[in-house]
Amino acid sequence: MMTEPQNYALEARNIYQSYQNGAGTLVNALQSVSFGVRPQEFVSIIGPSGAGKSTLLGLLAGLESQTSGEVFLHNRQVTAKQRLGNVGFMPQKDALAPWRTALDNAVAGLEVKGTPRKEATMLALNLFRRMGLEDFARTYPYALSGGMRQRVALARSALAAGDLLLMDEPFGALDALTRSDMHKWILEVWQSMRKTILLVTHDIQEALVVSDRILVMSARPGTMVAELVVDLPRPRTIEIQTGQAFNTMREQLAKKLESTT
Amino acid sequence: MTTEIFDTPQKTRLSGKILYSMVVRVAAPAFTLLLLFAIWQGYAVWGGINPIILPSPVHVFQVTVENWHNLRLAINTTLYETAIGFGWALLFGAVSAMLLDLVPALRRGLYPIFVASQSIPIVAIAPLLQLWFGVGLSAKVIVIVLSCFFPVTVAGLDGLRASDPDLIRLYRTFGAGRWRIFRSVRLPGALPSFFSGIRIAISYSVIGAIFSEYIGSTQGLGVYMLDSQHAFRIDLVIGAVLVTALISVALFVSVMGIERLTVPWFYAERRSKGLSD
Repeated sequence: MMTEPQNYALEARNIYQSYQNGAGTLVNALQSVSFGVRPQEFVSIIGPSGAGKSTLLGLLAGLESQTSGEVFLHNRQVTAKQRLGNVGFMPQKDALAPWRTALDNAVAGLEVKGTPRKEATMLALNLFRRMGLEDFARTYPYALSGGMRQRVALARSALAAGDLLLMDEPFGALDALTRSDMHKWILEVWQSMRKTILLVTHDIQEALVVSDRILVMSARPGTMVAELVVDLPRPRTIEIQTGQAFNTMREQLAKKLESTT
Repeated sequence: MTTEIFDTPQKTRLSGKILYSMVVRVAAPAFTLLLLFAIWQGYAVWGGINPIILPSPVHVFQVTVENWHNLRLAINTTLYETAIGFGWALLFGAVSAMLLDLVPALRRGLYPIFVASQSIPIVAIAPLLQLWFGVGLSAKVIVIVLSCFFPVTVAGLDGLRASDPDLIRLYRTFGAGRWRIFRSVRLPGALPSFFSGIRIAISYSVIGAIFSEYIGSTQGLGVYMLDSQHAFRIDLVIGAVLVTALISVALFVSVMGIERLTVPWFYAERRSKGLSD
């Protein structure tokens, strides 16, 4: 999958990750993972559960160090520690602080960065307006629905750091309707904030609806086994989603996924 | 947007329920108390008991009011000691909880000692404290701290250790350091737990203060009770005991009030989950 030198917003080269499990045996979670994401590209990684997708994303965010291999941000090699604070991350659970209003949750990352309160609030309110959240700025998380909470979490992660946003199956716990609603908001964030997004998911449909490119990962040890460029026009309407091209890609991906397990 | 549900309409429905539950909350214990007093009154009057041994509640009320001047001085002294002792216990409990949380070595080293300190009968060491620190305030404060810091430490530590691991990870990706995470994630999340400990501690602190006066003092509710007992004024003793109970309840309720103001989100969340608060 390595091509000629490219301008990448995020690049992983030959990443290996192993850890000792409870029984004391060495588990290879990731093996020789290499890929790049171009600036303002929307890339999804799909793979069976246990493929090490979350491990990979946590590692790219800087939460853990890789056993070997290199990570580059805008063509500059960076350690895990240097990645922290420079890569936006959105976890599986919304993990909103129950003691903060939606708006105060959304500014959390800016707050850590030391952005002046007024400026942070303005940035968050602007984004809230675009995401249909403005009426809920002062609402506490307990009073928000699951989809609404996830939307606040998305705003928080989008505001937190730089141009890069890593998303770790953030819609996994949502129902199908709310989930497709979330696709709309994530694309809104992607386009209006000119983000580079790497999304981990196990949902083929989701990956096809949002991505420019899809990487397929195999399980144990996790490694990239296929790549698919989704050259469909945007927005990907129902017509496109039920069209021939979309279905062919879905079938290709499903077969590829099946062969990896 | 149609899938989003906000709980405004629910809230208005709830307020009537809250009012009802508040009335029940006050009325139920008041009724129980009245019933107990009635039984006591009946037994004291018609039971053929010597009124010096078991005075009736009405009589207790009368003599307590007559003695109010002395009693008030005693209350002032005890409240003063309680405030200082409780303040130190709070500080000690909170600081120890944070230290035990932050330093694993301390947790292993000190926690067992704290636990052991709770099984020391304070009756036995209070006279020693008096011997070492004199009849002044310090010995009393130590007795109060010993009798009430522990719930704050344990509850606080539990609260800190229960912080949301996903939120901590997220804050790390923000580039937050240990101290920032502690301040912004772990401490606010631990506050409801801290308050549970504080509520227990406040009631212990009054008992601790009175007990410390028992050991040796010239003023306070403990002294008042002892003196009344020596004069065989059981009516005054009972009056002082009831007043003490009232003070404890009042302090407990105040802490609860402060708690509601400090962590309103916690109670709102519980209510929204249909849990009573």
